[in-house]
Parts: sequence; structure tokens; C-alpha cells
Amino acid sequence: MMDVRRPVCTARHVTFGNCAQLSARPHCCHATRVGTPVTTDAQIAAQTAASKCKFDVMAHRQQFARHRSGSAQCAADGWTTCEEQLNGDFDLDTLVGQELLRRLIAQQPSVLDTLRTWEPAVPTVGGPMRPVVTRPGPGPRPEDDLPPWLRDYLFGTWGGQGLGSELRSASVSPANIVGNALGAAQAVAYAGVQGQTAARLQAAAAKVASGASRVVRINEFMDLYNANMGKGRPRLRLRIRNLPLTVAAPIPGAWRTNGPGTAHSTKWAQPSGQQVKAAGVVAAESKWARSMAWSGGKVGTGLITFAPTAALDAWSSIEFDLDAAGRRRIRSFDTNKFLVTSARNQSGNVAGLAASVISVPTAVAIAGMAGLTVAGAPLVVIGLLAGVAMQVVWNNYGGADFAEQQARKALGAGR
Amino acid sequence: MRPPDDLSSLKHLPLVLGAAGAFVVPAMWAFVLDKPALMLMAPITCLVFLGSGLHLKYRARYSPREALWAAVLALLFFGSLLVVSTTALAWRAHRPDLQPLALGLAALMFVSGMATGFVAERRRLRVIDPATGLPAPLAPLLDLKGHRILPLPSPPPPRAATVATLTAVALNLPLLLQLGGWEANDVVWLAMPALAATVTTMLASGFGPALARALALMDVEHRVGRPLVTSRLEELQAMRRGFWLSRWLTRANDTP
Repeated sequence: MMDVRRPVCTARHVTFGNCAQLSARPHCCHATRVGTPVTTDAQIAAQTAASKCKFDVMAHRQQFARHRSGSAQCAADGWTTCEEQLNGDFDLDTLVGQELLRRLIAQQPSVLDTLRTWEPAVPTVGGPMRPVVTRPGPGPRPEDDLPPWLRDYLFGTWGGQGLGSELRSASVSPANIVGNALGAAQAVAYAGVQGQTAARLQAAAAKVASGASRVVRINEFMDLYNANMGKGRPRLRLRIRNLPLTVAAPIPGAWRTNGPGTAHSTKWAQPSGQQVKAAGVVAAESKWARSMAWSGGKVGTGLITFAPTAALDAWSSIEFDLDAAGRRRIRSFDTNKFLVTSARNQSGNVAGLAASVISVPTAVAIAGMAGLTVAGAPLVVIGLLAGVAMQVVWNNYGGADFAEQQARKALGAGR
Repeated sequence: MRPPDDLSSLKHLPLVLGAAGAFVVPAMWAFVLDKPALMLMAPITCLVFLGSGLHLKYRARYSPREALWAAVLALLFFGSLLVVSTTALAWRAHRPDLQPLALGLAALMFVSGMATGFVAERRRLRVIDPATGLPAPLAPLLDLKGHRILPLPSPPPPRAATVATLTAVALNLPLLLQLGGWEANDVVWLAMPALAATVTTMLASGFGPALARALALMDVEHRVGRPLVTSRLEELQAMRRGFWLSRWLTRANDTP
């Protein structure tokens, strides 16, 4: 539908004042469609429901905007919301551009003056060559006064735009940020006309009408301009600056709602650097490493080999409470989970260490049998790297799964 | 041809070699062979390495013929390391179609490494020492009167604790990579080329020349008409007498 150009999002988490009142899930406004003309009853009904939902969302946004001073995260219903600012230039599909321009013309007829300056210098090719018709006089509706190319653009069909583009523009998924942005753009356009931006809009429209600007200013966040000015058929582009967006995303499966629904445990499928650093902090705070039996022994090797992995496993076994200010407080330590994940993750370390400790005497024995005098350094390197190879093989070829299963069986813990 | 400087390290050698054959060598083939093939391979390599370990512990005289057997063991062990170093890269690149190429590359590295060292050592062995009539590099190695092979002085082998400590650091490399935004398995991009380079260097600088020397020593044996054994044989036999099962496993003519 649209082509995202250099989108810049600056995220900022915002408070939900009362999470229980989040009845209108923000994602349901995805049902709103902008580009396709409403034809069937079902579409009209959907449009009505969607606009109602949209106003719910706006009311909700206004409600939590009052609580903006704090910073917290709402996890009550498994959705996380945050306020972002959208910046970027978006290419508009022909259908969407048509619809947007039609609405703009209906709202502010002065837009037409700007549109006339977009007239192509050379006649467009590709479409059917029409005889130049004399411009009809001013009619009862503003769009009757259009130049033919613009009328063709807005109300006709261009070659090649068929059912496919309709389908394409009708596909809006929750993952489609552009679709969301457009829904939000429409909402902001409504609000802008109704609200205090109306005056500013009037001034901008006047400026456009005077010919000083060739950009159609939709509201304080959005400009519409022709990226193909004077060269042929218009290529509309929407420029968005600092448009506040509420992004609602479902919280992935790591969140659990045991208890009143505020506890979660972190998950370490592919931990990010941030998480690993945070794990280091937790491990240092709770001093778990010092109480581990193997660290008190003579072998410091165990500490170096296994401690970082153990820190990560400990981190993923801790359940946290989120307090009102969004801070984590340790609630409990899931011992079974720690043992199972340890068995899984440490088994690779054990295998690697064993392989490297085995490899060096083996290499020494074979070398001695061959009558060799090999310096130590290559043997050390071979030992290290054989250990790493064994670790990779173990972790990726079922060894880790096997260790996890054995630990589960030993603990009597289910899945 | 060269018993370990610390002879007591022979005590646990069958265990270590057996574990290497059962555990390390098959695992190095995990990227190319499927599980049944590995399960078939593990007992075989375990028996081969365990037998070698038992032989070294109880019966070895460190003769040139045993050095040839060491070349076979080197093929199994260091060849497996070369195989894992190339096939792991093909696996990480998600290109299973490149596995034959990786195997070919490993074979090429093994053969070229051995051949380079072998050819260079053969060239050096062509020089004859005028005093003894032996190849010059072998002259300090041989005690022809006693039919003994003298051990060359060598730097001490690395201590197991050193290796373990360094490995402890190396095994956390995947975690470090994750900290840097990589994937844990991306460690193979760093480790495997280094492994291949080290093993190839060792083959070219150590095992290839050792093979050439062993062949030259067998030639000397043929000329002298008596087998050459290590000069530390008596020490070795005295040591072996204390080993468990030594009465049945050592050679009959060696036990007093």
C-alpha cells in the first residue's frame, strides 16, 4: 500500500492510569480502511464499528495523556502500549492518494488551487490519450472544476490498476505499521479539523491558495506533496513529522499471569546484550554465585566456565513483581526451572570442557608415539577449539535437549 | 618413538584415549553423518583409541613401526578436527550442499599439510652425516651400538590445568558474542578457521616430518638388522610393573 521511507520512531513509554479500563483494544481499529471506497453493507457496518472504536481509542488516549508524568507499563491484559513519534516520508498508493485527496477537497476546497500547480508539463503516457476537453465552468461541486488529468487521477482509473491493487490496499494486518499510521493519520485529521488546529489549517490553506506553497498541509503533523512535480502523473507522498502514535503490541508468551496478573518471568531464547547486562546486575546483587558449592572448591575453572551461564539461568528463573512505578522486585526463585535450564545450558559447557581436557593428552600421546617434539602452544589452541567445537555440536545436536529431559525426569517436573 | 617425559602420565592414557575415541572423534563428524552412523562410528573409534592407549600403556617400545601407527591415529584424530572445522562452517552458512566440498577441503588440508612436512623432511634427510653414515637429522637421535632411539629434548607439554583454565574462558565466547549482538553459534566463524589453521600447521611442522623420519629409521633398522627401541625402555618397564593387570598385558619377554 505504502512505501516507508526512512521512518524514525522515538519510543516513549506512557502510563496507563487505570489498566482495567482498557476495554477497547487499540488493535481493533485496524478494521478501518481508508483506501477502498465503501460499497457493500458489510463494509459500511465495518466502517461504522471501526470509527466508533477509533473514537474509543482517542478517548482512551486523552485519558492516559493526563497521567503522562509517571512512567510505567501496563501488563493487565497482555498488551503493552507505548507512545511513539512517527517521522518519515511515505509513498502513497494511487488508491489511497485518491481517497485522501477526495476527502481533503471535500474538507477544504482551497486545496484544489495547490493541486492545479501539480499539472504535468508533458502529457501523461500510458493512459488512454484523451482529446483535450474544454474546461467546464464552475459547477455546484468543487471537483467539477478540475483539470482533466487531475479528474482522471482522482476519479478515473489508471492503466494497470485493477483488482490486484484493491486487494493490496485492503490488506491491513496488525503488523502493518503503515496501515496503523494511516488510521492514526485519519484520526488526527479529524481531530485537527475539530480542534484548535483548525485556525492554523485555515492559515496554511490560505498560504497554499496564494501560490506561496506547493505543499498541501493536512495538519500540523502531515504534509502532502507531489514527488513527481511537473514530470508526469502525480506521485503523492505524505510527509509525517512527529506524529504521536499509540502502538499497541501483544506481549509475547514470556509473560505469565499467575496470581493477580502482574508477575512475569523473563525468557532467554536469544538474550539481547541489554538483558545479559541486566542479568549480571541481578547476579551480583543476590550473591548467588558465592553460595554455589563448586565455587568454593579448588577448581576455579568451574567458576569461570559455568558462572556466566549460571547467571543467565538464574536470571530466567527469577519471577518478578512489577510495582506501580515499573520497577522489578524479586518475588521468588524457581528452583526447578533453574535446575532444568542449568542442565540444558551447562551441559554444553561440560561437554566442551571435557572435550578440551581430553583432546590435549590425546594429541600429546599421538605426537609422542610419532616421536614428535611439539611445543605447547598449538596443543593448547587445539584443546580450546576442540572444546568450542564440541560445545557447538552438543548444543545443536540434541545433547542439550537430552540433558534437559534427564533433569526433568530426575526432578519429576513436567513440561 | 618418544615416551612422555612424565612416564606416570601413561597410567590414565587408555581412559583418556578411549574417551577421545568414543566421544570427541564421533562428535567432530556430527555435521556430516546422521545419528545411526555416529552411533556405529563411536564404538569403533573407541575400540581403536582404547587399544592404542592400552598398547602405549603396557606394550609400546616406541619403535619406528609404532610411529607409522601414530600417523593413522593422527589421521583419525586431527583429520576429525579438520572435518569439524570445515563442515561446521558449511552448517553455519546453512549450505548443506557444500558439505562434500567441506569434506574435500578437510582432506586437502590434511594431505597437503602432511605432504609439505614430509617432502621438506625428506629433503633434509638426504644429507648424510660423514661420521656415522646416517642421515644427518637422525644422527643425534640414534645410539647405534645399543640399538636405541634417544628422545629429543623438547619443551614441556601444556599442563592440563592451563588448558582447562583457558578453555573456561573460551567456552564463554558464545555468550560474549551474544553480548555483542551476534548469535551464539556464530562462534564457529571465529573458532573453526583458527582450528583448521592450527591443525594444518601442526601437521606440516610436526607429523609430516615425523612420518619421514619414521620411514628413514625403518630403513636404518633394515640396514642394521635389529629393531630400534626407545632408550628409556628399562625405565618404562620398571614403571609398567606397577600397573594394574601388568602381568597379563605386558610383553612376556619384557617382564622379568
